[in-house]
Amino acid sequence: MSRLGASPLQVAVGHVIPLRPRPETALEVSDLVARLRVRDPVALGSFFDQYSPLVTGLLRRCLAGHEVADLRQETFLQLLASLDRIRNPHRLEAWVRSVTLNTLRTEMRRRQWRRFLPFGAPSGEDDEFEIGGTDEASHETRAALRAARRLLSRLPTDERLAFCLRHFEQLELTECAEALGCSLATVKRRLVRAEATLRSHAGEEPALAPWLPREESS
Amino acid sequence: MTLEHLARRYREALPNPSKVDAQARARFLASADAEPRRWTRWPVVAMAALVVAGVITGVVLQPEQLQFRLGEGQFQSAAGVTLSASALMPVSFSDGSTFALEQGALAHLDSLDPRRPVLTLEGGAAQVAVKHHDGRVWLVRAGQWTVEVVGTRFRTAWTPSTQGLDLSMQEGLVRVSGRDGQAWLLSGGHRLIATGDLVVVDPVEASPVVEPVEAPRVVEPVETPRVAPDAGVVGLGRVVDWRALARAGRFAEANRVATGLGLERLRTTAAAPVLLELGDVQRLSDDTTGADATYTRLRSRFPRTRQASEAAFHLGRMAFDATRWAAAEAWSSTAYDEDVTGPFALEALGLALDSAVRAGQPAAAKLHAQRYLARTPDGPRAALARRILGAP
Repeated sequence: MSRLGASPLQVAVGHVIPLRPRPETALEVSDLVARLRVRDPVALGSFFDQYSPLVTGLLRRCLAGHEVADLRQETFLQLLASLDRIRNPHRLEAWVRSVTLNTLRTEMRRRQWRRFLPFGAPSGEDDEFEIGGTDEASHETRAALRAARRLLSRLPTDERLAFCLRHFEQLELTECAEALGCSLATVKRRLVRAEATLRSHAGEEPALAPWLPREESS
Repeated sequence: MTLEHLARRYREALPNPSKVDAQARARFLASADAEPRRWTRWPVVAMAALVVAGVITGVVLQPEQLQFRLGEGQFQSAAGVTLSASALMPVSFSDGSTFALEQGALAHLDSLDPRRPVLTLEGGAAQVAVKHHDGRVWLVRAGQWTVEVVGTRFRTAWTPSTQGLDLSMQEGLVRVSGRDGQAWLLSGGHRLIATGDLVVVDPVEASPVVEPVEAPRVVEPVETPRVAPDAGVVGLGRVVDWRALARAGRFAEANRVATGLGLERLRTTAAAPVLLELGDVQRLSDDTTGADATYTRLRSRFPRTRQASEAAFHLGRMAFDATRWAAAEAWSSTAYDEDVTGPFALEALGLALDSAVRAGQPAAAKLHAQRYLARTPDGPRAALARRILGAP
């Protein structure tokens, strides 16, 4: 077995095996963290390559708008700044998600405050999408996404994040609780409230009809 | 009533990106040393910190200018230099890094940017030892491959004709990336072998062990030749002194010792590899007249050999450096025609192209440009070739 990890980097006797996608293998986690602390450029690049899809996806699903790119940048800088607070380097993904959620929480609250300011123009949350990384999404899909955003924006920040983690990121309840830094019971309560709010207002968004089974949209 | 269907459609419409955004990556790397957003809560403090940081970065932490030297020669700071002559010319840099080309290898020093110095291995093998330096990432390029190095030792070989890369790590860590964006992290003991699109990474235990790079062996100064003037066989016993000096990078001394042995005798009796080495010693000690005579004799005594072709290449380069454009074009095109698959072929072709343009030989320039683009459309003189052909 190659010391590079579990990817198929092996040499069969007398044969050369082409690599499948994602050939880059992570450093040993503790080694990666140590190198990140000294801002080793190779480790920084590897870290970004490895976790950028997770961070970008999470930001994109929880928050729309032009600012996703800026928030991703801010998240990664926050990750670097909080390296010393990693308790378990072997749970790096959970830590990355947790810091991303903190960034999201701050941004959502900032957007809420901006609504009350005369110069705090709406952030474009409702009309900016990078759908699947392409511009090929149908008009119907875009309309449904806008409607879903409006629906989600009715939720308070904590409930919205809980809903995103549970239903979009498909985390277990215990993982949601860990990522949000609260108890399991709290997550359950937030989810119940969030789902009730969404159900009660789903009917107000006709564009969502294709995304809801008939009995749900009625 | 559940919301699972909606959640699934939403998730499908906004999946995780499949590719890493290169611009975002570069942006992150560029600002990785910056403080996070909390500074923006105190704009005044942040502005003051920025000013101080700018001053420190600009004045105190100004990266040291990188220089290189051949063997024990003087340090130079000019990039855009073609390196060859293998063991005769270990290249060392002012930060302690070394780049030792193996026999027949050819490399190009593209940039001495203190943050991102760049070396391109045109063909052959090289032993690389990079000393860690904060904020400095070396780029070693070979065809479509780029090796990013912070501090490590490895051996790499590049065969342009088969697009073959062979990289053996000895210690440290490198990132190897191809043109399609795929990348590998290799640490000590790993070996990456690529041929075209096929890549394997192998535990080095299954590979030949590569000896670590050693500094050039320093030879005691030789005041006078320690051999009888009639020493018969060059390359045996104590007669190798001038060659040992050459390998230590002391070309001028090596040339003096060889001259003491009798240059004419050497040119008449030495084998082709030794003669090539002698020509290199003379060329690198700025004895262009002697080098010209040695290379020319080599070609007459050993025609149709690899060494003869390499001699033609060096004759072309010397002519180019002396702004004798027509001679440079003639020698370079000869070197190319004699060994179109050799390690110097592409460099010779590029030199022939450049020389033909400067010599005002449009027909030859056009021919070389066509050949050049056919062989290496992304080569360092590709833009010149396209301009000559009027291609976009």
